[in-house]
Amino acid sequence: MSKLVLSRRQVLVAAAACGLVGTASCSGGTDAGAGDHPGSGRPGASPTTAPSDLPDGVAVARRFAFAPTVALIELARGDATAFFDQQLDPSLPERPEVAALLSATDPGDVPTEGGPAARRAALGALVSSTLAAGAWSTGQLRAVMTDFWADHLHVSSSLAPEVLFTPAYRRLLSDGALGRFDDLLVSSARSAAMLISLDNASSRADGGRVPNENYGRELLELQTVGLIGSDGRSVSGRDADAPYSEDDVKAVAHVLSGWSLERGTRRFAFRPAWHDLGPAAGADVLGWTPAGSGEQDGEDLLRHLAQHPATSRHITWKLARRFVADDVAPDDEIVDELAGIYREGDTDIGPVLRRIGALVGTGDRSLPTGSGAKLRRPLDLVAAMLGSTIAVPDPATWQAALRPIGRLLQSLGQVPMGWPAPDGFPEVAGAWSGPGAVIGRWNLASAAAGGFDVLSADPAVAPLVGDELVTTVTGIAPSDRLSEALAPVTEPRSARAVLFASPEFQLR
Amino acid sequence: MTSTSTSDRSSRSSAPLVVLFLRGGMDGLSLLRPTGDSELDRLRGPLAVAADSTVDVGDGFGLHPSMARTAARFTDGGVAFVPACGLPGASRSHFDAQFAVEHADDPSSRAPTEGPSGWLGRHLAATAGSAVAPFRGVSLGQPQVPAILAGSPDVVAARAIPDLALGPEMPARRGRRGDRRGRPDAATTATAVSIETLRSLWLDDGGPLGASAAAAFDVLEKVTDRPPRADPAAPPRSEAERYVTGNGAEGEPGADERGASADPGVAELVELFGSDLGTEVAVLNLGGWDDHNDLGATDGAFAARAAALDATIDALITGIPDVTVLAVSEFGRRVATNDSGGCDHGRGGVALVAGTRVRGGIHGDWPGLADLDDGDVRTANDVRGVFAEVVDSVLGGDPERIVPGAPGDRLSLFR
Repeated sequence: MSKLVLSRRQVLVAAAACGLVGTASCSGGTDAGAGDHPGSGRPGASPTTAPSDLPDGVAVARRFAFAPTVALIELARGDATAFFDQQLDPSLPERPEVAALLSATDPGDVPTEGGPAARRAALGALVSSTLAAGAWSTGQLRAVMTDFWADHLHVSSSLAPEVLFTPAYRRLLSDGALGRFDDLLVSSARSAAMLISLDNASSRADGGRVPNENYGRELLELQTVGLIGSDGRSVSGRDADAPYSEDDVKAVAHVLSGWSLERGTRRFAFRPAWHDLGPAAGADVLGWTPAGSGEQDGEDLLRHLAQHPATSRHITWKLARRFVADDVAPDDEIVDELAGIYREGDTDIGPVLRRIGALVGTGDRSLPTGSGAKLRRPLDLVAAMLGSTIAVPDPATWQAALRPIGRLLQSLGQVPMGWPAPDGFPEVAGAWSGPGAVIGRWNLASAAAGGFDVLSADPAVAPLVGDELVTTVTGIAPSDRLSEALAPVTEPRSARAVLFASPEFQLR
Repeated sequence: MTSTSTSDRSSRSSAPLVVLFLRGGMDGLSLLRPTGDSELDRLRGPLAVAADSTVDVGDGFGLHPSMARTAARFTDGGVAFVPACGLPGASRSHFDAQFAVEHADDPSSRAPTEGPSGWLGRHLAATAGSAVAPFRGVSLGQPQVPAILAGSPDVVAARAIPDLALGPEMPARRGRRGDRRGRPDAATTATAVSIETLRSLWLDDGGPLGASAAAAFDVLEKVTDRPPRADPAAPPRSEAERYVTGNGAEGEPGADERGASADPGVAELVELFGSDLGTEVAVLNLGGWDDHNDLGATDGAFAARAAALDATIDALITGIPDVTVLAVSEFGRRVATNDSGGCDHGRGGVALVAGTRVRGGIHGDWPGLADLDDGDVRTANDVRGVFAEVVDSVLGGDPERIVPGAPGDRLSLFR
């Protein structure tokens, strides 16, 4: 037998045995609230994931990973330097069984044209990669940031023709997830998925034609400078205070005319014959003027937009909302600080994430606190349930599981690349609430506890019930209420269902 | 705007309202073509709906040929159109404009954080009883609560009613014949969490889903007793399939036939309004109207969707007594085409109101196509005026409170 490789679950059990989970660390670091678990004894309260309420390392591991392990919690202690050192390392190795699963479900070369069957297969591959990486990849931060970019640079595809290119698009987002935003933006702009989805592939400005404005508009409004006025408040596109004007939209459309695709292969191809600067010639477009260099103008514009001060605020505001709290405002001090780090690093995302991690990990007083809770969205939930309780499956079993999982994601409203508009899935808890949403989560809980009828629980977790199940799976001791609800449940699958349906499991 | 005393208002009852939100920016100039205006042919070429193919509705307008049933109702006085309709000051951004039309607020005053309410949500909140009644406002077609209903706990949203039940096999899959599958059976119920356990876990929960969970228990009680009868002829409804049908993209065999049938949500709404669950307003989200390309004229993607819209309006009016149907979009589209066979985002669009309470005809001002607003139909009629009249005449609500900023002069859409 080959060398035994400890599964993450086995590491967890060993750690629990030596009392690391949910209590003060062996190294004696500060541990707010050890033994005072969230939600205990306060009627009407809810378990919270406010960083100051959680044991050291747990807050960062939960925010920056889908399925945090004890090992990740360890790394995330203090200012989380070790966590980010590991997670930002591009050579971070994947576990062999996870690598095998990811490559088996990767479609490789996809057909560039195809009817309904080909499109369903592509959507299946997209969902498969998204969930497998989210659940089991060692690169949890990369998976979490790929999810962030999948919203920010959303290609709203469902089963439209461009869905064929979304598995490759996801790979592109993943490869660039932890690097510089300007590089990522340029990759996205050259992708078949984005060029088709927002109509730029067919946009021509030659012969006095009016180029298609769809991509140009969303590039400015959603992907770069956004609609945040200089005072930090959201503005309308017609407001004098808006970072860009309708003329800017037209100019961008002209600069990017000709950014298209080869027939057949659908690889990026600049079509000089379709390109014409028109009114953009010699114009000031948010502080940049085209040189008349054809394709290079487009790339220069994209990088200029990525580095624009309004973009630095827009993107870091969204990152702060994703990792700190829903109610971070664009004019909060934390956004000012992060925007500065983004600009100093020439749009490098890593330093921004490190700073957010340090603030969250140390419970810095300057953080906007709100309720302290961030709600898990449906994809977060599925990845957490799979990653923390399910053994890495073989490819065939995984394929079988994707059908029920896909149906549940549809009813919950979060199929990858399935938001009907290019602004991506909504961030804040309010958009994911309502009685229908909660019923959906309770149904997901039951289905996941049973492995969606085909997947097997990780052997280290499979027999667990009660408090031990909660601390092993989540790294946090259960609230009194959850503990009481679990006490009479002796059947492990039912115990997992109760955990997954609980209020605290809905939070990250 | 005439005001009524508080006591009058509290005794006014709410007649059924269904809002069809056409997402993407429905091209008003294709739906309701100004027939006398040759500017349209000049600017749109083959993408202009041919004037002589439209159904004359008077006042210089012709209705798209795919809207045959609506045209017949118009003849009987049961359909009102408001052309050049939108929110003054709104931008050509979907998000800005949808936000503005659903929240019915001045877009430049909105806050960056979540929390703003929609006009229907505000009405439900203003007329709420002492207990939460989640079926007063219903949204179908997408799992998330749409912005138009935000601000009231008396709202339930789902893709389809069968999603609102507990069971290890949920969501129910509809087979080709629309039969409901996925009922729990003995073997799989072992993992389902019991209602009692859920109640003990979620009682008085103060977290982000606490209020939703409380409403969920109420919904579960009410839905369990009455599984809706699915229309066996209805096509399977998933987000993906709707998208394919909506855009008229190559879909499965029979996509054209599907495009001409009413939205599958209609059957569920008919059932809901006919039940004693207390449904007052419903929202159906109909997507795919963002015709940057492949607009088509009388036989393209737009035409297929218009046919489905026609069937949907017809089915709603036939099935729900005394209903008023309001169809709106976030904006219209540019007069001139782009080069991808479509039109980009514009401003003034068309609002449609149908039902027996309606005073039929073409309402409001029509600025014509000679005087455009940077290439768009000028927004001559404030859509908030339409909302205000709906709140007043259909819902028995307080328009000044619910839609502040609506213009003083009435369009007189209702008898």
